[in-house]
Amino acid sequence: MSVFSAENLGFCTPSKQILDGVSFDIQKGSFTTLIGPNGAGKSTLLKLMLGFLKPSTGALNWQSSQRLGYMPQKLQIDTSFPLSVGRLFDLKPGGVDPEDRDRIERLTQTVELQRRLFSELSGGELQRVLLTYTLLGNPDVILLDEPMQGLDIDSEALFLNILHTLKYQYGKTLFMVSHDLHMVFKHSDHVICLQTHVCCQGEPASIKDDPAYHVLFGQRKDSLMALYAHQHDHTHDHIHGDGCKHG
Amino acid sequence: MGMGVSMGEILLYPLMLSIPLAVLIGPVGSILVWRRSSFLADVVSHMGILAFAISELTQAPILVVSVCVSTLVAVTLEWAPSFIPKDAWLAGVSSLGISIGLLLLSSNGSSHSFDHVFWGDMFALTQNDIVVFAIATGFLGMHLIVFWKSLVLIMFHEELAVLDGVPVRFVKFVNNVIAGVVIALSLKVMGVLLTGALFVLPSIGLRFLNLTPERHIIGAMVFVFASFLFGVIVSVQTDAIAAPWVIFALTVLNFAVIFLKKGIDKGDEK
Repeated sequence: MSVFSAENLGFCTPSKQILDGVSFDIQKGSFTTLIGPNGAGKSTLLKLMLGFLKPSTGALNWQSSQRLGYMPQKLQIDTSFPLSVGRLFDLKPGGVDPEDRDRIERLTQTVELQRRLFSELSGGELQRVLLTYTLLGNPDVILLDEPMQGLDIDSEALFLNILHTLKYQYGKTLFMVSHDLHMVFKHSDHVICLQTHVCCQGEPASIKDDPAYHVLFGQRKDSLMALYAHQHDHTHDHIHGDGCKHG
Repeated sequence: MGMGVSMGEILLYPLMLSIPLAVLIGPVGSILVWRRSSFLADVVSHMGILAFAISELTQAPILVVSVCVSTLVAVTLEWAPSFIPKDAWLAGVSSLGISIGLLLLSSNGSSHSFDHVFWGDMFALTQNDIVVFAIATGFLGMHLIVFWKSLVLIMFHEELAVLDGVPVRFVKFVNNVIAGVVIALSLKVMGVLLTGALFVLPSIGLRFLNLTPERHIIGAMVFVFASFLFGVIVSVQTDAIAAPWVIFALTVLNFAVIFLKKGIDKGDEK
């Protein structure tokens, strides 16, 4: 069942066509990833989906019953603003059931971060706090803007583990913008390649064989996939955060 | 200072003003810094020159003109063209305001001294000024009671606040207007050159204390109150301009807090 559809979506500024003829669906309970080079229009598409921008052409439709959650890429908070994590969670509009909050905080491992200020959080902690804040609104669909950019391997694995739980245990629909191709192909079940228009889309395995994907990423895909390849040409005896033993 | 005027009479209004001034500047200054809009304090205060010029030309009360000009600046901040960076836009508005103000004053052939415009005059306060400050304090209090939660969410992340149903643009507009009015009111006591510093400086030292936002604001009020009292008393004792002494006291307070905090942290490490 589709929870979102974009039909022939276009967006332009006075000087540039940023999106043109973009059409795709998001299926309920799916993990869809949007990839594309810098300037492909990924952030603009996300802003259109969230209603921050209005499309120049075409239409987008959310299934009316869907609650949206958004996890931004960057935090705008000034480092001098002395806001603690727990205080932010207290302020979540609409009120949150204490049991739900406790369950979410345990899932995202943010229980022990309550008294910490935002200026004191590491990159991985910050991303988990942002995800927690998003989850406190009990969204059906979660839109994530490059949530793993700049994270180390352990933080990335932990974050992916949480996303897996959200998808498989809680049935959340995930839509993520990412540059991290190895993660995209390993964890998504639908990939959309964007370069102003949708170059190709489908299951990860089919995308990797699509000529449009190779044209879009060219030589870069090898370096962007380095980590993915790395997992197959070495022997590892440690357990990754996603719970899978690689060897 | 006129003959036959007692020290108590000279100090009465400045001392009465110190409390509402601190209550106004503490939260407004802290929010300006947290919203990375410190430059707004400088821009609005520099526009005091334009307000003074318009007041001279039209004979309208300076306070009314200052509030109108400040509100206009606050409005233009929210409706600035998106293709111009906000700091560049405000720098342009500030320079243009000062230039037009100076041109108006020179064309008018004004022979008045501008000293009180540049440095303020806290000993020229009247009972009306105290009443105006008290009313402004009431409005600010209502603004914070109604919009504090929204302001915190906006300062955290504007887009998330929009999704959470916060009327972001409206709250920011109201906050900017109130900030503009408070800055305009402060011009009378601190002048166009140093008013901005009075709003921004308290947050520099206080950020080292990692207080909650509310305690930070109370700390800023205490800083402004103490510095203002110091400036008034030293000014009376030395017959010097008070505003620079206020800023000097604020700077000393900041250094004291920073060194004290560093000292405590070092002690804890041992």
